[in-house]
Amino acid sequence: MQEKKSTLAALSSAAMMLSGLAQPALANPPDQKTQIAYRFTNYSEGEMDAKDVAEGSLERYQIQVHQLSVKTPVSEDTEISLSVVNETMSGASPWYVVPNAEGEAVQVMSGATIDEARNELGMDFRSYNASSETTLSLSVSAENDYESLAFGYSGQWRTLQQRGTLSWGISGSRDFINATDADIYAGRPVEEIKNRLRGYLGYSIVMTRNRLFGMNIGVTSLDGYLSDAYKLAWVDNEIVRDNRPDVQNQVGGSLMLRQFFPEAQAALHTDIKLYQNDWEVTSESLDLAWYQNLGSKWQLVPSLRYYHQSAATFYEPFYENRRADGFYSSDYRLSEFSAVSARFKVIRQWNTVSVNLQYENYSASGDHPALLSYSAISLGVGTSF
Amino acid sequence: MLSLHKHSFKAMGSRCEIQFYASEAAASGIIHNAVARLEALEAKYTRYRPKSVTSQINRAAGGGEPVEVDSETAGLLNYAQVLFEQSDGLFDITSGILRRVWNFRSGKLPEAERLQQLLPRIGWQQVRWEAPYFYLPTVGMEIDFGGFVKEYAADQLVALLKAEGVEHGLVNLGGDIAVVGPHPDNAPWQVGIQHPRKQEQAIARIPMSRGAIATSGDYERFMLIDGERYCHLLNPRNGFSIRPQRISVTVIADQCLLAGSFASVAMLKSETDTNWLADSGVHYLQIDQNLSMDGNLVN
Repeated sequence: MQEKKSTLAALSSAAMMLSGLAQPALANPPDQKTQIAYRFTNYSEGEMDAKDVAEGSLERYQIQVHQLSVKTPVSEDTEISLSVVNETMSGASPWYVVPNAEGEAVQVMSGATIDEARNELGMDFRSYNASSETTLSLSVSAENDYESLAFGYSGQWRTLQQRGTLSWGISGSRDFINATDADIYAGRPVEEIKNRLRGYLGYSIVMTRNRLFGMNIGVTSLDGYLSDAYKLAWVDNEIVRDNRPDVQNQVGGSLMLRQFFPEAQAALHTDIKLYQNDWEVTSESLDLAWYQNLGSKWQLVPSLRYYHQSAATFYEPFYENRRADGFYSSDYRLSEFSAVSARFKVIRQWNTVSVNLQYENYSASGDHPALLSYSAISLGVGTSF
Repeated sequence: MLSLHKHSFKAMGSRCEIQFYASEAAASGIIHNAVARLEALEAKYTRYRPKSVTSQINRAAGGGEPVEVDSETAGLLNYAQVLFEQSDGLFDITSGILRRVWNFRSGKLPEAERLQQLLPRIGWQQVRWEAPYFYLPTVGMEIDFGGFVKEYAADQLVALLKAEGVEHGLVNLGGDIAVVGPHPDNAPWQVGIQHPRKQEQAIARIPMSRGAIATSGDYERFMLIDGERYCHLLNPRNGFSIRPQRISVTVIADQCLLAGSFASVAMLKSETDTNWLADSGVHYLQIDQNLSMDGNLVN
């Protein structure tokens, strides 16, 4: 009897392999459908602790984001996607750090509440054939003190009878920085430029019906104005502008494993990322997500992410002495810290409509008084026809 | 507004039919794509066209050069290998050359001498198969996907219909049936099982909402000689018509390919093992020589 059950298993497995191979389902061809998706996200940064703030508001940014995207086929093997993002933010932001009477670092927040808006327009053009695909991306983003133009060219090449996928991409951007109130605050940057060039290479392979493994390596080079236009640093009782090197080279790699558990109708997504730049910031992150299907209509996705980074070589919360190289930054994003982010997502699928709701709670810990915590809730609606 | 569309046509030597619910606007495109997919599969695997994959492989037999096959053909060859192993060699896609001596319209048994000449050219264990290279080592050896390509095609059409957004429908390729989903009101499709001894009559009706159903019987091609029934199911080892203890076997499985394989192997096995399907993990209905039915589908 055991033997006969194994006949079903053996034939099922051969048949599954066959249907998987025959349809280029792994290849995700243009589906000849029009898709419209909208997402609203409300970020709410946690209030600062009064003991960490020397001056200014305890409240930080509240950010509302509207994203709308439309994808539609152009021909049988091409599709175009257009996306619009509108972001409005208000609140105070960390300005500089000073030592208090006990010599502990305390934050000075920007005085006035800042109201800002950012709009972004993006376009992707994707072209597909049975064994490869390429995507050309262009985007422009504008806010009152910052404009950015970006391009990308990426592709995938499928090997090993569609089981392996080689991914590659190059992208670049040029940002134009024109700080507001430069006439009031001496030294605020105007007409500065920042360039970014990035390339990556990745490979993923379907190891078994239920297991996918992938790895990715990327390098990025930044040059131009890489400081924060609004941040300052305390140096031996003086306040100076945030001033960072004008070149940064980054290298990052990642490993991913997707394991599907047929009996549980669930999948575990594991991602490990390592990163280093030549300002000596290194970071490691581990991301675990459990995708649980409940019937064909519902999906629940709890996930947890751990992140740690080391500080930039020239970072200090405040400076007792001048530095020979003149680099100063007390930006919390360049300090050493650990962060944990917990997310929970619910997805409900109807015939052509899908709705998802996600909640995220992020909290960082380290020495900097302004390390961030936030909660974000977002609601997405999508339809295809 | 969804309405029921039926389209009948002939392909793979069988009467085929697809039925599905879709809007008027979408229906003709869906039918066109489904028929095109089936025709492409037929053109690729038929032995009647010189350019088919099957013909290329067979032409290369004994020539010293293996044939490089694509991923779909590799999948079918892998499947053939598993089928050969799991059936203890009874289901063998190299046994098709026996049709040269078995003519079921002639009313005559094959000449023993000619049959003996064919036997050395049969046997999957002789083939060289290391994906993507396939090679038949002896001139005159042949493979034939006819034993399961129609069932595979039915599964492919279901996948195609689903990809086109169809949720309610059914594919029937000469009695091999694969279901996309039940009627929009959730009512199952009623599938008739061919009466093994009365043409065009159903011996049972089975409600199907999902999965696939396939039947193998001794009535598909046979001849009666001196009251003895010789059916088209041949034993690849001795080249002779088997004497199945079952005259018809119907199997339900998730995929038509599986249902068809289990039905065929159960028929082949029934000469020596009348209950091969028991505890096999599939749903089945089998009919014996006295027309009595058993199996886990019978109530």
